[in-house]
Amino acid sequence: MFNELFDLGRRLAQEGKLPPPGFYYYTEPIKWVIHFDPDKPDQSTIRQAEITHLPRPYSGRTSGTQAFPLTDEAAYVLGIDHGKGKGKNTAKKHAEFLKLLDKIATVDSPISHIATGIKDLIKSGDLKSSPKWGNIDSKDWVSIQIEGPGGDGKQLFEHSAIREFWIKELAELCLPEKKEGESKIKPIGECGISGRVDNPLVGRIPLPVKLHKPAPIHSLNADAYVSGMEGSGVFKRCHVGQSIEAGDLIARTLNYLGKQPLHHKLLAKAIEAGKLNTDSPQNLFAFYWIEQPEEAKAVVSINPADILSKASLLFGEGENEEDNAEAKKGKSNAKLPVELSQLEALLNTPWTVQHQALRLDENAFCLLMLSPNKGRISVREWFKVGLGRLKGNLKEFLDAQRIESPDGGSQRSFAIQDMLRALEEANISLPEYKQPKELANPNMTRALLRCAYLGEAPPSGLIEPAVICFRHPKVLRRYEQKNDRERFALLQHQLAAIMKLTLTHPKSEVRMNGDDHISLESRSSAFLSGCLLAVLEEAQLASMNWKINTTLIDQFYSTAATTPSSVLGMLISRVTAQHMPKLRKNMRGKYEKLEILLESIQSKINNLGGFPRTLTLKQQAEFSLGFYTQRAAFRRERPTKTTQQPTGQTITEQGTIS
Amino acid sequence: MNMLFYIKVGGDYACFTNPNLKVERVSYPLMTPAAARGILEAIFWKPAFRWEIRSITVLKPIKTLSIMRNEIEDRQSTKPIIIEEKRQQRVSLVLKDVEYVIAADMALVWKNERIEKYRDQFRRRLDRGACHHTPYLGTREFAAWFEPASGDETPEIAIDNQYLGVMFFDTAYIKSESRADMRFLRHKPSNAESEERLAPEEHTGYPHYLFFPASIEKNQVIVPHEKYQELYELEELDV
Repeated sequence: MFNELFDLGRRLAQEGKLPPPGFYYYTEPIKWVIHFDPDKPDQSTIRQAEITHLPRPYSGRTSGTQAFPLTDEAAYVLGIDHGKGKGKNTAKKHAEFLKLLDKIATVDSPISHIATGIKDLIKSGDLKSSPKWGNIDSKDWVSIQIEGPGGDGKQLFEHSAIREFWIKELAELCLPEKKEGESKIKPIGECGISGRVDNPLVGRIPLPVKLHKPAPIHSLNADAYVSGMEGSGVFKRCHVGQSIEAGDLIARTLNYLGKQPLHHKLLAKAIEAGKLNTDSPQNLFAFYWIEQPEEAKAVVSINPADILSKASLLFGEGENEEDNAEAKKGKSNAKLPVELSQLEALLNTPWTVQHQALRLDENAFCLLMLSPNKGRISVREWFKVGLGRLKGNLKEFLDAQRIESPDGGSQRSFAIQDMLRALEEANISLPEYKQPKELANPNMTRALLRCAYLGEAPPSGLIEPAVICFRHPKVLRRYEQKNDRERFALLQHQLAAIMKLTLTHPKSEVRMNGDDHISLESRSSAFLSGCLLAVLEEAQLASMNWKINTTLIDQFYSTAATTPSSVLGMLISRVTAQHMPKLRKNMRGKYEKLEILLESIQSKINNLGGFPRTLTLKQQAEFSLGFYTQRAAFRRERPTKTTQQPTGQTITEQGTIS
Repeated sequence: MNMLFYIKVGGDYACFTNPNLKVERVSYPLMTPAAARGILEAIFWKPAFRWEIRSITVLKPIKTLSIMRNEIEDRQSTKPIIIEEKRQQRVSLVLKDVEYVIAADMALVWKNERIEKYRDQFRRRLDRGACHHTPYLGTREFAAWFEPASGDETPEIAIDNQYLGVMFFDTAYIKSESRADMRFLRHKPSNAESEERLAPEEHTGYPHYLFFPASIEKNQVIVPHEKYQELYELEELDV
């Protein structure tokens, strides 16, 4: 994981996408710029500005007094003691800044004489005569720019000499702590990330990674982690075996990925009592990228950005700050399921490498999932999969869950969060007045992501809630109520997709326990029993000309789905005695069709040993799928109720017009 | 003469913690040489020799599992810990269902001893499944089983060529008066003339961690032999 992040970081740094080592993008702007002319220091002025786009030196300073080189708060740079934050160790802060200038001056660099000049300027107090001096607050950021012949219009802290100075200074600052009266020890060892041996190892990596809020990727707050320390002393002196360059580069890389919508998605949020708990490991952040060897960059037939944007559709909608803002305003968070047709189209195009010596799998899709945990960051998932394998796995995942809609419409697949949200929404233990969770269960999310991207078996815990929710009247019956039809049709569709995924994914544990790879229809009496129940319901509905609201499903579905032999025989005799004669009389064509279907299903069930006495969970899922697909087939062909409107328009309520 | 032992080890779970992420643990994708040495030392160890790991072969696909456990935030000491006050929930990304073949050699530290007797002792213990304490896969809670490798072990999945990055190799305990971070014992061979057993020497010093660039080639990670020389030089041992 670190190796891949380190490589990516180096690549991004070469492309100029990362801030320099030890630098960070602050939210507070630089409000004042000192225009310093080394030849005529007495003509130096201070002007107002608004600079936010430049990364500035960072050390993780919180309450201490630690100065940054050539840019800092006015209390540090100018010793200003008024406005916001006034009086908090201003003299000490200012002294620290001047000390740092002295240090820069002693380093052999092109700007050492400038540092001396700036120090003299600040100490002379000439800047106090500036008309704007009174407007500068102690918390305002101040920067320095060179004017005159040596000036290039850039801020001084951008100078390469200052960057080099600062990373060395930062390494000094991050050495393991010292005891009173002892000198700091510079532990020299191998960096556990880069493998370099010439850099001192550090006690902490100052740059945090921002998830909901910034946190270190490695915590050193407690005394518990002393095993594996290298450094003087024991308590709070252990360090991580990292050099500052490697640790800082990884933190900068993660922060960069976190800002790119193409590389980052929030998959789960921990909402507790209506509030977001930013420290909970229930929050799940995904970072993803494509790793490409240099020689393979130009010769892959597919654009990596395309793969990233479309493969990440599988996650679902995710979350962003705008959504959060809307949620705060009380807007509805009902979301439509993500359309995966773009991903399917991408999977249907060939992915190749033009050079024969290269293989597609040398390009890899990397996924890292992080969660905050009490101010630290924990890694929840990490995997890397070659693009060739990825394509096959994604296709398998989508094929395994693709199923037609409850009204027999086109087949489709669903994104992971949509499927899990359906389970949550259909959850029978959730009272009707309660809103389901906004984002899905993080554990199931991760398991399904592994299924989709790595081709692992779908989580076995998925089938039970799907079966139970599917047969619950809340889902089965509400579909028939016109006002909620679309919502519950979608719910049924998603639950059926989940059941199909668990039964037909090539590596499904559920399926592997079964006998073979033949289709469900020909091997499962449970599936056929489900079909049979749908046929019986259709016979009842057709005999009443589809003018009843309650069918035998409402009364017998749960029993039939668990113990088919106890009710199906009785239902067949009741339907043949009560409804089929009516059908024969009124709808001869329908009667013949249903009669043939009944006989064929019954004979198949007989060949498989008759109605099953009790069904296991897996068989119950098969039963539900049989019922669902047969019902969808009827709905596709069902004659529609049509009403003639005054305008002469024909309104179609459901199905096709015959 | 090098005579390699091949030991097959496995378990349901394993966590070979990456020291860069040891709070919220993340396992390396496969066993580190230090963890392999720990397993062998659980079966048989004498101060007269050192285990040197030559290679680690991965037999099962690398699968991970994320778990959350209650751990204590402090080290255990003579003072009892009140769990309710020191409990912390931490996440670990551990390996699931692992199986490896370790190829290892014994290197003699005490030159007046004969390595053959230790080889025979180890072979007998390995054959009958005896161990000094239960071997484990990275952390104590993930116990390991072991058996002599038959030689016809076939990996379930082929891993051709994969660079894993820098991986933890082992710890060198370096004697130092100026950096007295810890104390450790160095055993001494018995007196050659009187055969009197000598008490181990106690030293102060510090641990130093060694890493190596690891890559899997045909399911096997080859451990660089020169790393052991580096370790012995740091420990001032003549092996």
